[in-house]
Amino acid sequence: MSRNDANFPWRVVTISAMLLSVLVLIGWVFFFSPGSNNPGVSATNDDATEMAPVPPATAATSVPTVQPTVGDPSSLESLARPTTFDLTDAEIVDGLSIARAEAGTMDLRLFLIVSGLERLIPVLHTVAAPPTIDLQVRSAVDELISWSGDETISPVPPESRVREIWVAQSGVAYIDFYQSFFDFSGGGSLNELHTVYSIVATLTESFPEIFAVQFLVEGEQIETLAGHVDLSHPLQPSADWVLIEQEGGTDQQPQDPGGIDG
Amino acid sequence: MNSDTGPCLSRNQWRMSRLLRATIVTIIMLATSMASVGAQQQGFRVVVIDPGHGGAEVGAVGATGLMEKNVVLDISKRLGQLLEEQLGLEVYLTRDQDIYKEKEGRTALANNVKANVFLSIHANSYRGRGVHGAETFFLSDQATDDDARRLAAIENNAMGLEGPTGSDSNLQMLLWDMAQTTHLRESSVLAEMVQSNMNSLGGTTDRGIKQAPFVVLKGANMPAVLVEVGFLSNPDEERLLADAAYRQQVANMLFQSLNRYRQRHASLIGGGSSQ
Repeated sequence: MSRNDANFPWRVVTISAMLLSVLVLIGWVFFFSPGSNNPGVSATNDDATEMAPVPPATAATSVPTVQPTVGDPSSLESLARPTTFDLTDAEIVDGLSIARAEAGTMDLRLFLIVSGLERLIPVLHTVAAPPTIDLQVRSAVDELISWSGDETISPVPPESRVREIWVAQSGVAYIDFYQSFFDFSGGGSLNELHTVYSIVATLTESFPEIFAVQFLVEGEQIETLAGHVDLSHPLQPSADWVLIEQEGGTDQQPQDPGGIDG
Repeated sequence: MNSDTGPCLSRNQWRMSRLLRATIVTIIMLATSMASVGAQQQGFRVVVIDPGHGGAEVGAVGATGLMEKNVVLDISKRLGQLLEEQLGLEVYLTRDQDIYKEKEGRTALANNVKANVFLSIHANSYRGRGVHGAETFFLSDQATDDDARRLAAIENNAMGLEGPTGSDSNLQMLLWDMAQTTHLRESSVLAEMVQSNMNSLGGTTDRGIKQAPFVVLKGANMPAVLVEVGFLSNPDEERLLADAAYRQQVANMLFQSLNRYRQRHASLIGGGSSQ
């Protein structure tokens, strides 16, 4: 059969070629379409095809599928609770601070610099216990600020002054400093990491009802203290920077938050 | 007869031209998709270098007054020149003069130009003068993976606290936070390479690779690391970093590590972009 033969199956060949074109087009659109140019928040991930696959644990955890309604109490209820402490019973939380107040004293674990060691070391320190959790936390932060020891140094600048402290029912402690905290922190990421994680670990390890710390300066959120550590959200203690026992609960797996689809 | 063969031939010609068109379309599509794959998978061509701090944010300051912002800008420029001249790469500096740039804007630049890597260059400082050496960071898991942030984002909004950059929506913030998560493994590989080259530099000691929730790494949609080239609080390292020849050596080491990472990149995707 030659190409000039009237029986040559032109129709079959043409349809096959068209079909191939369509398949290639579909493949191209699905697999190689360019991603969004939206800076930073580009949900399409061009580089995902470019690099070796990433373990699903880092890629898939805590992917939000629904934006919770801001200010809606039911959405607050539906969020994952910290696994370090069961906050469902407010009486237990209050009970801890009441017990400390009734005992008259409380044991703090102050996380301090010991010369030659990379990580901050907890130093047990007993102080008088004020009546409320907010005042108790304030007392702990003030101890860090004013600390002077023979073999230990506090990484919190002595010029720091606390403006306000409160502990939310969620277990997040809000520490609002005056500007001096910012001004006297100095440069260097190691300084900054130690200052920040000393306060975080001191509070979470001294008060079981606290699981994270949100830093504020003059009532406002700050991006960083010295240009490195992200302070725009609450921080949990990190075993990279402080000597803490990594319990099962510290390495948190996000609970399945109710009310979030998929 | 003409009337018999003429229409038959023209029909065939028409059929052939249709086939030709279909084939051409197919070839064009195949070529386009290959080019697209080539551009996205094989090309290691864009590097974004981020000299830390700048302007009013001076960063660390040594005893002699040597400022981190100036040291790292100089190293960044030297590194950029090496990458452009020796590898022909497209290099962007997040700042090429002594000005302050928002940290999110620095990562956004890297995302916009579709950088293959983001390297932030810093110099360290500590209360104890004895601490010295270089260390390399990639983003910590916690920064991308804790419920506290979600909970607090809602609480903060409820309390009327606004984020430092005026965060407009939680979802957008979370997407930004998650940009780096898919690249953590590659970032750790890059961090290892940077640190091993810094270790081979005479005059500094190995402080290893570490993870921290650094804001400048958070939104990067590509492998991203931050290197601390030394401690300005340590008199010996401050003296070294004040010396242009030493800063050139640091740039050479960073150049070598980026070149190694580029070669690994090429070998992973089948030998493209070898120069």
